[in-house]
Amino acid sequence: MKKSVNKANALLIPLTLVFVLLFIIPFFVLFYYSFLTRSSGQVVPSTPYTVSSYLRFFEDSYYPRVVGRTLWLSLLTAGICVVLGYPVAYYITKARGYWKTVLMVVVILPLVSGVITQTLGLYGMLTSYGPVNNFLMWAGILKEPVEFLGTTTGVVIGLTQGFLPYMILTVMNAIQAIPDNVLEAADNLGANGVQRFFLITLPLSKTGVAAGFVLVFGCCLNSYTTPLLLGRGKISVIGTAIYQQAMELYNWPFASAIAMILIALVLVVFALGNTLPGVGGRKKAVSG
Amino acid sequence: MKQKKLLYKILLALVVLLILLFLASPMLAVVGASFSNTKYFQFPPESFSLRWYKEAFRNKEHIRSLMNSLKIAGCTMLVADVICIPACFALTRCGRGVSKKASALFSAPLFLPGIALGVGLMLWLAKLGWRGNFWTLVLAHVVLATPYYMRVVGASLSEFDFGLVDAAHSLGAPPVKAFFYVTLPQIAPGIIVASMFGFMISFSELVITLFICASNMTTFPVRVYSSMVTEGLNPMVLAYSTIIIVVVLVVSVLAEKFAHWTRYF
Repeated sequence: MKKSVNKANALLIPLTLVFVLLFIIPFFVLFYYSFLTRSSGQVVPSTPYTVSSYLRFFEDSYYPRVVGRTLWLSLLTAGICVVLGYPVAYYITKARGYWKTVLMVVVILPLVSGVITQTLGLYGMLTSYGPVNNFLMWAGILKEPVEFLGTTTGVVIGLTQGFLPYMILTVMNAIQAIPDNVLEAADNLGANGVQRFFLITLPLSKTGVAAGFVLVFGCCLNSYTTPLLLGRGKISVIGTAIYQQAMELYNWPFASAIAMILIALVLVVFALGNTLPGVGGRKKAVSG
Repeated sequence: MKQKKLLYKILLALVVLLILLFLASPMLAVVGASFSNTKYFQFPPESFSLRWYKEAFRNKEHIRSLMNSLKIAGCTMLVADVICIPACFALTRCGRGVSKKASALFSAPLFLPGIALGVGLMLWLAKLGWRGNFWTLVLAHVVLATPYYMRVVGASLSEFDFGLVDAAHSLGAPPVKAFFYVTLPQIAPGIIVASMFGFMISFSELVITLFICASNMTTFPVRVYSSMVTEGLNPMVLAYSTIIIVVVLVVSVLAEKFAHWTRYF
């Protein structure tokens, strides 16, 4: 028996090695670099160890404002996803057969085809000569085109489109978990459809909504591509600030410090999410 | 009463269809605009043309990046198959304590920020002198795909009855034969779906690749990303994206119909 246990553990070794090398150590390197000093004229930072990168983050109001903006965008997106995601999830759980397959494919297609394809389409849709502006002018809502790209609105639209599938899938799981006989009992006791929905289905699926909210919120905090491309570099969030420091200004200690702050923030969000009852089973899929 | 109920139903269906239209609109726009004949993004296209497709197939740089992406995604899938599936087996066989800790580690790439991992990887690989190495990029993609292997292969293994393997052993089948004749056919659907995830995650990965890929190994997402940052939207890219969307659509329909893969997202 003991021998087979050892043999089983041996199968874990290659994957564990890859994780140590390319997942665990990089985070420690990040942690280490965040305490190094960047001397002028040199890209590679060195000792002495210092906390000045962290102090710089809170020094003036710029970076705290970036954090505030990221939190606000994430909160807004997660809220919109709840409102848009719930009816879709409810509808799909009731659908059957081929129709259900079609609906599911539409929901997951944005996840599978990758963030860059989605951003490409959204970018085209939202340009000043794009279909959204054309439609709004045709409908008489706008007199002249509005610039969505490079604005908070554009970024929130993009984040919502990208992360709505997670919300739908999470809420669907919760609604599907409601036993049929509970709903039948409500019918037998004389509840009509509306009462049944608001008194049974909605309260019993609220943990799913909370889980979806945490999930989308966390994804938005981590997001980089959507805010950068749809924000056209004008909407600064934590992700774009890290990239800018690391790859454009080559200030690696500062980039590392911001990344550590982001990790701390994300861990707090998911930890808080885990304290909610029934939340924490699902985690996100493809990154955006 | 009945009329009211019907009204609610129609109203719900209408709202849901509108939301799904929003969800699908970027893809519809990409596909539609790829057939336009204008120099800029035009949707709906006013005239049908294959101009951008012709241009796309003549552009060596984009084709090369597409080939790089396919190569990296293929390698990621194969490497992940070879090292993740045995690990999934091990997790079902080892003690609870180990399995819990290992599962937590192997699903961590899902929720830790990719951009932070990207910076960390870049600094670490630069120190080792491995930045821009093809296989480190593949292995980094394997890390990102691992959570899906755990979820998908783990699920099919938990449905698998290991008593069948014992039965095969007691009937005289050596372990290798038992694996290929008993275990593998049962968990094959899980392995296929997991491999699809592995391929797709690597193929569409952008953030981490941006930090660690070599300039001569640019992947398709990185290439599109950089051209979007510098010059905005080029309709030629839409042609490639349309092909990707069509492939993904066909695969998703099949995967949903035969393996219900949406439960793994």
